[in-house]
Amino acid sequence: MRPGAARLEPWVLMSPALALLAAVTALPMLYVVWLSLQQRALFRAAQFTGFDHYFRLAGDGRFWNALGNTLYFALVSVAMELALGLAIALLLARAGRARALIYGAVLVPWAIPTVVSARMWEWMYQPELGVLSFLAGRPVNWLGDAALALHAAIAMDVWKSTPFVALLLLAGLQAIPRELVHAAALDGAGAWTTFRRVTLPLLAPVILVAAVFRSIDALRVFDAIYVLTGGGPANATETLSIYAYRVLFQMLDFGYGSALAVVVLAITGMAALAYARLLRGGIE
Amino acid sequence: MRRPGLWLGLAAVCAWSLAPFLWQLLTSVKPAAELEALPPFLPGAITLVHYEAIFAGHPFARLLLNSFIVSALATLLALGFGSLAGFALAKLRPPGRAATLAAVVALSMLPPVATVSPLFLLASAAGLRDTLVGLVLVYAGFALPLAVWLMAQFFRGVPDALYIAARVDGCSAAGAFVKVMLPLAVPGLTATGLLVFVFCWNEFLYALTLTSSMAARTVPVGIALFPGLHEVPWGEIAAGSVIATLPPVALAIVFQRRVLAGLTAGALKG
Amino acid sequence: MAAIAFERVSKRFGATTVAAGLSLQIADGEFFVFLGPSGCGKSTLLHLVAGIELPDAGTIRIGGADMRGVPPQRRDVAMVFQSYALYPHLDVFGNLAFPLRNRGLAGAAVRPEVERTAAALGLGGLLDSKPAQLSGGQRQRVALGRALIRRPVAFLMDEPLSNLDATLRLEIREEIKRVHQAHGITTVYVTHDQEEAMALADRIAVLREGRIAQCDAPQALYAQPADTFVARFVGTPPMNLLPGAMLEAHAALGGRDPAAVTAGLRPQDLEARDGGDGLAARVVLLEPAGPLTWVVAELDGVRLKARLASGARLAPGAEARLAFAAGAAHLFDAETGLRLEA
Repeated sequence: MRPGAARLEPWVLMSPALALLAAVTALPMLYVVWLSLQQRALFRAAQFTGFDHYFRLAGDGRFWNALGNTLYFALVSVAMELALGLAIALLLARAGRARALIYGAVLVPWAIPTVVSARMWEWMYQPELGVLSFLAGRPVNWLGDAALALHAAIAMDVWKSTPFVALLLLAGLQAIPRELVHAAALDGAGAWTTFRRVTLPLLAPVILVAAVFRSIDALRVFDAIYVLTGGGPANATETLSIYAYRVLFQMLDFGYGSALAVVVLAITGMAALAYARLLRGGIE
Repeated sequence: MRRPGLWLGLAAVCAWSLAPFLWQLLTSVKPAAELEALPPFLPGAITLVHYEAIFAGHPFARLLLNSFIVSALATLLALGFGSLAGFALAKLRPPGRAATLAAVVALSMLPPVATVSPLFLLASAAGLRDTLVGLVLVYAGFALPLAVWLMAQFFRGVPDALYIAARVDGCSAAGAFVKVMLPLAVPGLTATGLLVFVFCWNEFLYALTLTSSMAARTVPVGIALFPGLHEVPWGEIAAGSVIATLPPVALAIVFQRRVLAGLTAGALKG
Repeated sequence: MAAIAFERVSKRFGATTVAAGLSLQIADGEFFVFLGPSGCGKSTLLHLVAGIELPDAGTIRIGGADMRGVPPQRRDVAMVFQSYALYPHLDVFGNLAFPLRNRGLAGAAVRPEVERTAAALGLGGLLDSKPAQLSGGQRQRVALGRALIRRPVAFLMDEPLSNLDATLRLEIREEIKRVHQAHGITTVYVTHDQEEAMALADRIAVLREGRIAQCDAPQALYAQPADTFVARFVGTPPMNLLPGAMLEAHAALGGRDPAAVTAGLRPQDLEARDGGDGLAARVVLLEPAGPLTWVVAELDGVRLKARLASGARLAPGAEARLAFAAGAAHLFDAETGLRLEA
């Protein structure tokens, strides 16, 4: 063994992972940017067009509609997931022995494939036969009504993703030293004051992490809405990912579709940067 | 909070989490005629015709097999590569490990749609489109950031002294990894493997774009593209949904503690 | 068994300088102790010998052979850790057999070796136990056995006693010394506990910021500390240090300028009396310590510790006279802290 070999050792052990990551994620990430700079119909010769596709975005009303839908979906669903998740976490923290049982129930929405949960909700959203119309007391066209459809998708996402938020926040709650809560009680703080002045500030970093995690997921949402509404009615639920997919694989315009994909990448990248700032100093 | 309120709240949480799935379960065993009206809520008679139909009329078994093969192989690959890399990052401390970990975390947030067009072209060029191998590689690569990150966290929890002891006791770095570090990381491997498996089992966009026939199509794609001649076959979709849901839900419930450990470690341990 | 040499070894970790051009010869069969404050990177010196870490510059020789490029598994050294570092998934037998099996010893030859080593360390009945079932003392015996079993050329011991309670610490300390006497294996031992170092070592190197402040036999360190750092670090309670001017009237400073001298007096050499000659100091408190009582007194803002003279009656607030023999004072350069020979 040469002197340098010991220093190479870790990189040798990491090389399979790094090679696969490069091939399947890093390289395609660069490639998509390159594709976005080309005029490229599938299976035809490519032509370099520079930033034309990005200029085209500015005047594309459907793009702005998709961007608006994406941001609205992310904002509303993440806000609701955090609020509901915090409530559930606070409940679970007091559940005592029943906790294991309830964890099991709470994990179900998390574990169900998104496609399946979309199909389940699609069935419940049926205007005539769906259980939700029955509960509403009259037939409601949940998915066919442009004003309702995006909210219907949000409700589904909240159902599916709140457990993750709740479990994360619960872990954060359990990491808060009990002495602090007891000390607050001894100092004469009521339950609400203790929550406001002790629990919530200590939980804030975890809430932030959950918010960023969920935002990144929500900003790239595809499966749930694609199966539930396909982006309809009249593009009322079309998000950026769905628009990009349609341009890529239905219109077979790989150049413009890739430009849309790069926009999704940039938006989630910004959210990821926020996350990196949160973790900064934490990564050893 | 008083106890009755607590129990009421917890019951509501359980009901809210389980109701859609239970409704789907009921739907899957209702005779076709009863799906035409509501009420009744409960099936008048329990029938398995929808289950028989998806296996007879549609090659659902093939979808299941594809999903199992792809998820299992991708999980093994991600665990193998991920634990090697996680070990190297946590215990060999190469210079630049902070940057490497940061890059890995960044890659884990990559939106699938951002790489779907290049992967489609690359897979076509390599002859891997519509093959199980192609999906396995893509899934393993996509799950790797999570696997590397989680395994690095778990290996960091194994005391340095044990690694050093193994080295002076005569092991190479790889030997110490196999004989000492891996046996001690079994809980971490289980947690990581579960998360990766569930992730692969549920993946949709890549499966949708990279497969075009039964040769490699997976369960989520099958359920999304469920064929219907005149009207949507809700009973059969429900039956397929229940079956597709069982593996991940069963794993999540049986290995509850490991899944929770993995989920929170993935997000919280900085 | 082998001599170990550090040749101009340098190693830095971020802001910590572990070794700055360190050169040192450890003789074959010697019990050598690195003594330094916590967090000064002492353990890293052992990792350098073991090959876990590589020096930034310089090299290490074991038995005369340059260790550059030799991986840990081929250096034939054994290590004992503060945290025991027993393999938790293996039982005691498996732990003791681990280094033998790695060296390719055949299965049948392993058992008698393990049993002999276990018996020698009083672990005979525990071979099937997992480390978690053992007490701290038993664990450290297993760790010693695991190091001893393959007769390495050197033992590297990283604060092996620090996790043990006071009684066990003495017991295992004796065990370590006995093992060393019985087998004569070169031992490099790292600790922050000067008492442990004194009790075990043939020679001690006192470390300060990656350099050796002094390297000598225990008695020599105590009797002739090379600088104020060593003087304070070796011996309990630590040596009193006071400005030379305070001693001007009482002891010969060798004709030196009092302002340029720091004087050192060990508490053992300083006797607190209730009258007579000596430095006049105000008693702050008394610390009974069994065979004797320590007196903490203050003189012009300097705190001094002294031994209560037998029969003396002193109480907090009283004036004490601190007396010492003429040759008891150590003299150091006030600026550099280096020892001045009288």
